[in-house]
Amino acid sequence: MTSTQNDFLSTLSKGKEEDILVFYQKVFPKVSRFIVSNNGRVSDAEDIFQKALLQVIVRYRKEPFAIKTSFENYFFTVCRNLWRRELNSSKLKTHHLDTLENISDVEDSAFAIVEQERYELFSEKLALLSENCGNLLSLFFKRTPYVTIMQKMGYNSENVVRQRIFKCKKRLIELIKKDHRYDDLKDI
Amino acid sequence: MMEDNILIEQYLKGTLTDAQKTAFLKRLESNAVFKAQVQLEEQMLAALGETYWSFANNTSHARVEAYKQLLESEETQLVKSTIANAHKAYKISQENKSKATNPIFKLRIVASIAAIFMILISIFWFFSTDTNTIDYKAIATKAWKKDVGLDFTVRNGTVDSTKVNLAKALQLYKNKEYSQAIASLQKYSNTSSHYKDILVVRALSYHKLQKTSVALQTLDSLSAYTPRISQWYKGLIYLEKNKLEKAALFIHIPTKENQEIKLK
Repeated sequence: MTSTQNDFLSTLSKGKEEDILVFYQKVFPKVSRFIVSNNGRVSDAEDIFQKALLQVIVRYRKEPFAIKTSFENYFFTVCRNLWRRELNSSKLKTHHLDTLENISDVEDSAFAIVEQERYELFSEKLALLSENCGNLLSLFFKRTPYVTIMQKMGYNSENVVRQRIFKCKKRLIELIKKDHRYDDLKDI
Repeated sequence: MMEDNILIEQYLKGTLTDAQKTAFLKRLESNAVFKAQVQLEEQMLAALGETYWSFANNTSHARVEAYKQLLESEETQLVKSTIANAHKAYKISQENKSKATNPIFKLRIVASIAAIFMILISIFWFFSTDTNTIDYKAIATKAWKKDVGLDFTVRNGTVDSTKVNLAKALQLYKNKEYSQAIASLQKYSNTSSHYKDILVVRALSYHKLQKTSVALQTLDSLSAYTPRISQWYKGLIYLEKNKLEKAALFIHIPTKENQEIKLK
């Protein structure tokens, strides 16, 4: 993390209205555009933006953490994931209404934070793989059919694709398990 | 027999036959290592794809518990209300921006600039006069003694537990037991009755504990309920910190010894 990003995160974590307002003016339009173009409304964007801000500040206050990109990009990813979570939780609610109604707002926010931490662990390790493995697994996780991956990546057969994906996934799992954060996040 | 990696993949894609699925679930129940492997692959598939999301569900996990406590803490509640205030300010600024494109509004701007110019001249005149002879500390002490917003009369036999606790907290504050005053009000949130009074006692206690920024943030939250009391105490706090320019934004600072501080 660059010192500028560090300073910015640290400033924001102090929770001063002026700093938060400056950040709003800078980043909210981008988040709003993303959510509105992905089945959301401006009011959803406002809600997600506020949740993401609180999440980042609470996390930083608990344990200052490092980010490897610009703070704006990092924050946008947090918002994107929260929106993805929101869309999927609406799907879940239709199927498991009874259990989900028992979760309080605070519990849900705590879950959202640990889920983001788990996402960051996984994506950080994915970025450490070779370019070829990274591309293959990205397509695999997007549930792209083997035949399409074979054509896109120029492999001879679906079986070769399957074997290659298996090796890359094995490597990714090794990297994740070696990280000290894994033990803390695996049973959540 | 099918290899585990293929088996897990087919389970996650939902393509196992009923018999295969039954055997798979039985193995999951009896084999912890296998269960952990499936769980990790399931989490990766949900989190690293673009469409789905990997949800947590272990409410008793220590990390989840720690975050819950932090989210419920008074500090986080303050951050939450500060974010809400920043959001309001952002919306107002956006509305003003769209108004600025209106020609009538542009004329109003010119008039406002002229007014601001006059105010600046007045402020310059105010601060350039000799104010060293005024004992601001004495004037401020007199203003603090007015106990603005601190009148929580509790009649005998009242059943309003929040009001009773509020009166107790005020007594603690007056006895200079500031931390206890804050602690006694910790359980209340913005859905509680008398929340504005709770915020006043909290803000003043933080101020007395020299936690000025928390006190000012609490007064920011108070401004949504009672802006005048919020302004009054912001002014007094800044005055006590000898920040005359900032104090002057909220209160009229006397120019003569025998005058009193008044709200703007």
